[in-house]
Amino acid sequence: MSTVYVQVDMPITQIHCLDEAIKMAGGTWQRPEILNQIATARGVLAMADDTINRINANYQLAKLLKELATSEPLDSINITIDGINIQLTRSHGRYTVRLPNYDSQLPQIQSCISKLQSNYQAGVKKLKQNITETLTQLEEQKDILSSEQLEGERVRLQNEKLALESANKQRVVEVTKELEEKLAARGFEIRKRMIGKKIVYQAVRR
Amino acid sequence: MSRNSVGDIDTLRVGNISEHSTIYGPGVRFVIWTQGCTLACKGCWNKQFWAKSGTKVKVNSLIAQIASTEGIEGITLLGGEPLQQAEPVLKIIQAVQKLGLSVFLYTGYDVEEFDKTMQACFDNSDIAITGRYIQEKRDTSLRWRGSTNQIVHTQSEFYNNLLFEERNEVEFVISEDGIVSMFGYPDEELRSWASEI
Repeated sequence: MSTVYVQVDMPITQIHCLDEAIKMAGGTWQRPEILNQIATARGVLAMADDTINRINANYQLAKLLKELATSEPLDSINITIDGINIQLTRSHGRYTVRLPNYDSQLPQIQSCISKLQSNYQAGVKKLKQNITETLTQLEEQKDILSSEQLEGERVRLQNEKLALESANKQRVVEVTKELEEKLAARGFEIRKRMIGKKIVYQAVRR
Repeated sequence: MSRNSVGDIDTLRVGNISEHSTIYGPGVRFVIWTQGCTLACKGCWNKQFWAKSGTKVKVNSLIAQIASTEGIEGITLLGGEPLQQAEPVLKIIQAVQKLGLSVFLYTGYDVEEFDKTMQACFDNSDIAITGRYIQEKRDTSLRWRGSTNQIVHTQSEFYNNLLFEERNEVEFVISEDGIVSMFGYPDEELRSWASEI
């Protein structure tokens, strides 16, 4: 049976940003419990009306974000958008849709994926921006906030970043491992180096 | 003016830039993919650089970017077809050589097809690869080129001591968010794997 791959152009890796993207597209999925707990913890933080509550809420959210960052990625995700079911499968460290090329819903699925992808990119951008802005605010307020408050906020932000980056790091680990195996199997000599934050493989076969 | 020129000698249409690559010439090089090529070689896998689109970059700002890039031995011009923008390309070649950097030029034209400006680009390059890519003559064991008809011209003292040996080279760049880019001369299976990921 021949198949066609409906690939997303950028790696969708982080499930909390994917969760937001699905919601924005009006879709549903079986959210892992950790995402519900994070949503609740965010609500508690937003409602915290005194210093002690805010510190506690920050630590609770930080703990959950760390748990999310270190949890095993889901092998597959089932989404329903506009009555269309889409199954994302994890492959090469990111989520992809695989469909038989005679699937009559292919155009609708492609349209949903494109919507999700665009929401996802916007969500990642927004989260990154939010982290940067909050860090700047903290820096400005460091003389008025108590050390406990500052520490609580910082830990939470660090873990927001960790949750955002860990999935990408995991993808990089999986892709590099696969690449090294592919090149070695073909008899390439590999030279690996870092240029800034990029990993560069120079492969030579004589 | 070169017969293929768009007329603006201060602007180059650029398809892509890699500030550090080791696959297109000796050492670490600043690589510029020029945008636009009418040669349309069958089997070309840089078709995205055929259209006359891309980003219009001021030659002076490109030279400044090259000058501020650390750790490079030279620049490589490929495409697209660099010699279809021969005037700005010549300006870049002359400027980077004043910076003490070497120039590696790819062109799909053969030497006998050059006009005056194209010839000047060729003459001022330290190494040049000439000739169309011919799919039927594809050979991934070649160094720096894709088909056996393409010629390597080493034509300056810069690479007098260069030890040239044929070999298959592929370069993969993985960004921190997991985006994989592939350069060089991969076999079909490697190409297909890279496009899948």
